[in-house]
Amino acid sequence: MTDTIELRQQLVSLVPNLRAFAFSLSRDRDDSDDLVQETLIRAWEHRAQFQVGTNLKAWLFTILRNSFYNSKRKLKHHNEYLKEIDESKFTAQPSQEHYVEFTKVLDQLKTLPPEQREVLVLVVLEGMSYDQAAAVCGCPAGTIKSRLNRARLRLSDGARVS
Amino acid sequence: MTQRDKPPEDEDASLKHSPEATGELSAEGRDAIGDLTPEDFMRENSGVLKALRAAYSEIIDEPMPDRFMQLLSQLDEGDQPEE
Repeated sequence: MTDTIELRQQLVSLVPNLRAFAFSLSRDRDDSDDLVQETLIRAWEHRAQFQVGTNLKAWLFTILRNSFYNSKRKLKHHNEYLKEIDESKFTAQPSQEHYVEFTKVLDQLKTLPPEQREVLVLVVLEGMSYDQAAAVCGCPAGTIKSRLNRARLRLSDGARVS
Repeated sequence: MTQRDKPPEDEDASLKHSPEATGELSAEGRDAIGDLTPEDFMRENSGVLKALRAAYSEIIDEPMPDRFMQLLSQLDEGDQPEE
């Protein structure tokens, strides 16, 4: 019983990070909050599978990332339609400036492939270890390391140009 | 080990605390990244990553929408996971 209370509290505390990560993937506020909701529900339903002592954030991020790529596949054909709807909702949000700003910065990182941007978010912004980031992305830690390095090189090239 | 083996320090390098993480990393090969902390990374790629971190923090600092509090309070022990 106390375990579930604790888990619930930890889920609450991680919602902000989940939302930010989700937005960095989907770049759409409503989609990202839907992703977070789905993640919380799935995590709760599968809580027996979570091993106490392992990193809860990495586990949740893994669920969220998988949900994103699964739904992306499903929704691919409806993208344009969804965008139109979402934009109208987007402008109605009170704190949208933060999202506009975040989107602007993500646009500046457009020269990076998505998997490099993702690693930047996980390691540089979320402070995950290579092993944790590797678990989230489902790849070896060495791949995380080289993606991060490639992102770094590309960004420092870009900085010199501008 | 000796001072001589160290690459010349640039101005930024003097700001770094870790001797392993000095400015030679950009010139050096792939494995150098292993010594970089996120903070080193931020210093090296000032502009866009600083903006990214700032923007990311703004999102994290946002108040949590009610829908999540409601959802989390509705998750109850009733639906025990299958074991």
